[in-house]
Amino acid sequence: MRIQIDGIEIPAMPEDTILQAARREDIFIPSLCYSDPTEPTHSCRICMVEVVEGGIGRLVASCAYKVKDGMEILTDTKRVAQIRRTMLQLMYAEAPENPAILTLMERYQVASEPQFSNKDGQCILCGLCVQTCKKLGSAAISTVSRGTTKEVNTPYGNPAMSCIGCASCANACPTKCIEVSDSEEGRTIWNKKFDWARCEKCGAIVGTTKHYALANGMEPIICPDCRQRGITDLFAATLGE
Amino acid sequence: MKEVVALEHENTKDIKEILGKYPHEQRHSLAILQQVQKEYGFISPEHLTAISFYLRVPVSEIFSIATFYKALSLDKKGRIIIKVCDGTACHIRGSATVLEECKRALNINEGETTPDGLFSIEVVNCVGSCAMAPVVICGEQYFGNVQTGQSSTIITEAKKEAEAHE
Amino acid sequence: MSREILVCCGTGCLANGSQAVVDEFRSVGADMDVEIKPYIKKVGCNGFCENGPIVTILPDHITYYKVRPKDVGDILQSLGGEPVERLLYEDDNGKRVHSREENPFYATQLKIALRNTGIVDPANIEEYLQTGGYLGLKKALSMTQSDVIAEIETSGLRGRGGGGFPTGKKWRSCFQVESDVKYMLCNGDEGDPGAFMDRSIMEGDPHSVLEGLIIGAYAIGAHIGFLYIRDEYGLALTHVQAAIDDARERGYLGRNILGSGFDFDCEIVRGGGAFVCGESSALMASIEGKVGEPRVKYIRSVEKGLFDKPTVLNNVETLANVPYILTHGGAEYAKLGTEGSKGTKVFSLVGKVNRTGLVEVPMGVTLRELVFEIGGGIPGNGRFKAVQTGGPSGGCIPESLMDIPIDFDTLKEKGSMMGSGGIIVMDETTCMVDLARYYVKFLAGESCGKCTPCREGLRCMLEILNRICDGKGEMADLDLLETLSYTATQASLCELGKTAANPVMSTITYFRDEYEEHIKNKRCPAGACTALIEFTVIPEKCKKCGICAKNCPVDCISGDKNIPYVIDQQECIKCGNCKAKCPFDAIVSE
Repeated sequence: MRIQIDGIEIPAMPEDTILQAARREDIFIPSLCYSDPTEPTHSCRICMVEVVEGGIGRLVASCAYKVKDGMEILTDTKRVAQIRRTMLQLMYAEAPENPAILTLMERYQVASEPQFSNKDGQCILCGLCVQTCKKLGSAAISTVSRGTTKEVNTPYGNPAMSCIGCASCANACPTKCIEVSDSEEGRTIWNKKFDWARCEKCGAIVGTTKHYALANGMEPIICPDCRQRGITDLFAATLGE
Repeated sequence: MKEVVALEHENTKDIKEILGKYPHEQRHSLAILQQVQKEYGFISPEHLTAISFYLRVPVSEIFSIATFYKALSLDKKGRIIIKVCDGTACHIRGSATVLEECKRALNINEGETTPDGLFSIEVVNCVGSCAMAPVVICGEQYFGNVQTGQSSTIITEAKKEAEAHE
Repeated sequence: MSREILVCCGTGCLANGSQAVVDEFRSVGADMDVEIKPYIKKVGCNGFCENGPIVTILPDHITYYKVRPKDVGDILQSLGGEPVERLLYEDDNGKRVHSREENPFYATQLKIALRNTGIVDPANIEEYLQTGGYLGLKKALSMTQSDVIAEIETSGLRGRGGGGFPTGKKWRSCFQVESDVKYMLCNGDEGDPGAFMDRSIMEGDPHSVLEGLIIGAYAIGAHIGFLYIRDEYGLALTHVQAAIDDARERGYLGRNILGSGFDFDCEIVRGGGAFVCGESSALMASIEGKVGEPRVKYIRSVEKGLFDKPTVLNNVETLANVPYILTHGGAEYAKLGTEGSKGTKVFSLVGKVNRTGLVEVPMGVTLRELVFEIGGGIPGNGRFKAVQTGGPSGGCIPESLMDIPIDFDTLKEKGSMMGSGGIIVMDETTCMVDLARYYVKFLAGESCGKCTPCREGLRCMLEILNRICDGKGEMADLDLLETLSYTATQASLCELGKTAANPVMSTITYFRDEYEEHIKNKRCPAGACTALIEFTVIPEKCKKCGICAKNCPVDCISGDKNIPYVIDQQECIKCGNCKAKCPFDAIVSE
């Protein structure tokens, strides 16, 4: 099927959301809480666009709204610009001076609103960390409480039994606000300390011991490079020089 | 990785009875948590682990549920909870004054418990008795049309009754 | 002749001691002769709770108010003769009236949803059957599903919980979806502060809701149902459970209902204290055992709802109307109300009004009639200021608009909405800025917190409103409130966020002068915002009785029998005790 974004006609697949179709064609629609591999939360709302159906414009979240053949989408109407502006100001207050937010503010020429008081921390509650951890099977973190006191944490803020220290949550975070402390000895994340799993052959760090064990059980710890070398050595030995 | 759950902990010795009444399905999480709340007056870390294990739902998600719903509490509440209704009808008929009186009578703030563990004060959402605003619930008893000075009397009476039962 | 004495045992009257009245009747009545001994019956909420405990004598149709155990002897002695004058209701002309129907509060009401509350014993299915109960279900089961839906479509019934969505259309959409598994749900999570009509129906006539649910399930093709009932409604939970057990025993629930071949059963799910769970997708998430976070609804619940199956969710009052529509016909129901809003609506008339309680009237009655005729106007020397309709999703209606006929569409046009039917009456002592702040504070705590425009929008709106009420506001704050309101309305994920701005915007629209007074002159005209008011004794009016000083919790009032009392402004905590207790109106707050 074909749809129109800001007057440009592009192809789209059935079951596409507006955001997916746009991204495939490199058309930019801002978004902070969407990531292909995880369950979407539709929570940041910065991806909202206007869809014209039957002559009437309607604001929808492009990460959630499915495309229809011939759909007309506008990403920069007055309405969209206005709500986007306010939401970026609100997100700035949640994550003051955060590069990801500042980049978007610069793109859309939005200045911060001093009357929106700054919160502590840099979390915009997009939920990507929680969804990522859940998808990977650990579910060590979750959203806690509700309303204006909602936050992301481990139960009681204590080291979580099921956390393996993989830091996938930190990688997924759009504002990079999850603290990961890496040193020679190990890693600290979500108040939990981890030891490094080091390659038996070359000593390189391959991850935390818990992460490695979850992925590879009791197998000896070998880094990808040494594993590869091991395979080529084996070939050489079997096939002869 | 299996977690060994210490079901013999003092906070969980009867939880098996509660859990046993429900199938191992997530949809019973709220009902189970409410039963635990009713039995123990709060929900402990051991409770959360036991429920997580029983329902095969991650502890973090049970924790999320326990902190989302205000009928559930992670802190132990007083034996008698004074609930001051702050529904709209009660609000415009002076619930703020009623609350201040309760706070003064017990010398604690809303959400707190007296040092002897006897009373807690909570501000609650509309309890549906709007025609009798402002409303205070002391334990299980409803008081409507609460006048100035009446809240401290209600609390004094409740204190006397509680002490008589000890 | 056999007499019945109906004692109201709804939550309100129970709080006022009606159980003790029942016990006294039973104990004193036990000694009476069998021929004249009345049957003592516990009935559900009469909806006039401030005047309870309410007692009705049948077949004489005499209703007594504020009955205490000590009045029981007099009542029993009066049976068959002159009623006990002092316990009768005094109408607006000072006349003592006998029956409920002569009481101006009830006189113009037309009870359909409330047809049985206050009349039947809710714990007794026999009484429900005697008033025509379950005849609607019998009729429905003899019709095709499509015809049952057509009856509801003809009636014009629209959702009574707040959405106002046409019930017939909802049922029709779900009926058309092919699926082996469908769910029929009842929304008993009445969370709007100031509304208690669903509580009253669930406590006083639970079978009417159950019957409506079963009929709906049949119509859409669902075999499993859930009734989601608010955690705080203990009595409603008990009565509905008892009704389910009795209905099952009699064959109105379960397999092969009344021999029709239709199977349906249901269970109660108890809420956990979350207003947002009244939102349909949050309610379904809660039933699934998750946090009550709403989801986007581009795919509607009638196609994919509870556990991703086709689901219909209806409000308690909506369902209570259904059996009536089946037995009397949709066309009959559609004769009542307005063009766009058919039938009757139960309103909870509360706040600064003489007669507070539940009022069921046809749609189209004006607000003025509701507040001044049925409600008897503002108590004391108060002056009417506004009504708030639709709870935290609604807005205020000032005096100038009181003649609009109430229906779903007229209220929306004026920046408010019907919501679940709460009508909060306010007088000149209510500060409209404080009211807006109250609603925003409520929503800030009740919001699920998932989406930015609602969560952060409410956080910032609350900060701004707090500043204004503390006398630290600026005129630019009003523009900011408008901006935040616009964003919340346009960009929020669910209706909680989308309507959160209504109380703020409607008070700014109709009472902008009050906001400006707070900002420019640091003054609260209603005398409510404690940061901006001072309690002072008017020396000329002070009779030097000292009652104020005795009741001051911080001992900041000084004086004696020779000099007028004076309040120390530095120490005063603005509790208002002195003003409330002064017998001479000598203390003012401004």
